Amino acid sequence: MQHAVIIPDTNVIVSASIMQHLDDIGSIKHMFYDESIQMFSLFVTRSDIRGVLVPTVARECFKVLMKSVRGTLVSRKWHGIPATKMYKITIEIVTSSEIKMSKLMSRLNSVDIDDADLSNNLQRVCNMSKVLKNIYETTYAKHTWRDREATNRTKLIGSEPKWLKAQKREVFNAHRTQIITEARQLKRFVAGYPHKSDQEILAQAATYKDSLPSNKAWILIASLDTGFFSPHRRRGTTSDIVTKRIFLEFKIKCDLPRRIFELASGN
Amino acid sequence: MANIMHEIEVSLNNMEKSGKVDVGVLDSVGKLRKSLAASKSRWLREPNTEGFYFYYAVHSVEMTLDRMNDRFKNAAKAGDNPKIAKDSLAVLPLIRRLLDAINTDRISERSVDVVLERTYELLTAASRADLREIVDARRDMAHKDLLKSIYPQLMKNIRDA
Repeated sequence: MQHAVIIPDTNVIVSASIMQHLDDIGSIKHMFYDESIQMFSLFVTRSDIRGVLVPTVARECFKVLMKSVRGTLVSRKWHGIPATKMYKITIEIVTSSEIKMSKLMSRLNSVDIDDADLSNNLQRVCNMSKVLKNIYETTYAKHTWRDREATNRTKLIGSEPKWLKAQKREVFNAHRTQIITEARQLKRFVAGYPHKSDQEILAQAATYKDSLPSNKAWILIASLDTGFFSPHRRRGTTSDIVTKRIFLEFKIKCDLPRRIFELASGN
Repeated sequence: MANIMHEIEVSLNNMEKSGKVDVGVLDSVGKLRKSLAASKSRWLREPNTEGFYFYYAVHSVEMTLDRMNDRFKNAAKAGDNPKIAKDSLAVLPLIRRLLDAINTDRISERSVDVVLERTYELLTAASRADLREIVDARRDMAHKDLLKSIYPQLMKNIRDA
């Protein structure tokens, strides 16, 4: 029987670390805190589900936390608030979040990845990324291509009954909305290209997968990054153009923590 | 600063050899703690807000030294003798490495990365050696409204990171 192995991306660990109880105000937490922490609960409640910490995620978590907090608190001008006070608040948040982050990371199994084994998968990831970038630049980036593609997708296949005129317009618009969502995801992907850290994480996940006996484990990556590791959702449409490519190439399923929780737990 | 670090190291090594804690080391720890004030103030005045990383690095060293100080003072009562000397020796090289990294005039992408890596190294090692500050759960009441107003932006930034 296959067991699920979940590899959380850096942003999932960081979001599961941000939760502050503020007494009378209540608690303020990261917008993805609930789903991220729910996913972490699986590592405690389900012995058949394992969490794995790959080296790049372990290395990057603290940096991501620090840079995010600084970007919000320190890099802005808070009228009338002296730097000493802002720094004090920032340190409180960083310290409390970092302690939570360390506890969460201790629930994961750290794995060592052999550099020699990694290089082959890293090359495969780089090639896959190049292909996706090329797809965007030669197709989705061009508005005329999007209209042509929507028209193609609207075309009837074989002996399907013909659209009524109003239906055809509606179907065309639905396909166009879907294509725009796919274009937006690829645009985000290209904006972050070459995604050095993401590429490393995927290559490490693939190398770890290769090290396991075949068909024993089902590898999942949980991420909030819709430009790489999770599908992009917009106006009722979903683009999984990047994650589908990852699955085809590496047989690794990537999605938001909420979906990963559902998939792994069977709920 | 290098001299003070050396004094502490020699003293800790002697304690480890003799198996007895010598609270005399606290003079040197205190001197090191004091010498950090100038560095902290320099990074607070730094116009480039990436100076925060350097400020936090100094703060982390201060907190480690404070915890070290508390444990040495209570070593006899708490039966922490000579474990505190061994624990302190485990983090001392990391404190030195971190202080070397922040001893720079120029903030660059590289220096930020190095400072963040070494700060995390120190925090992780200090946790393992029970040399992390004990966080007071009672949050400063004066910060609450401010925290509430800035959190949505903080959340957004973390999501986008």
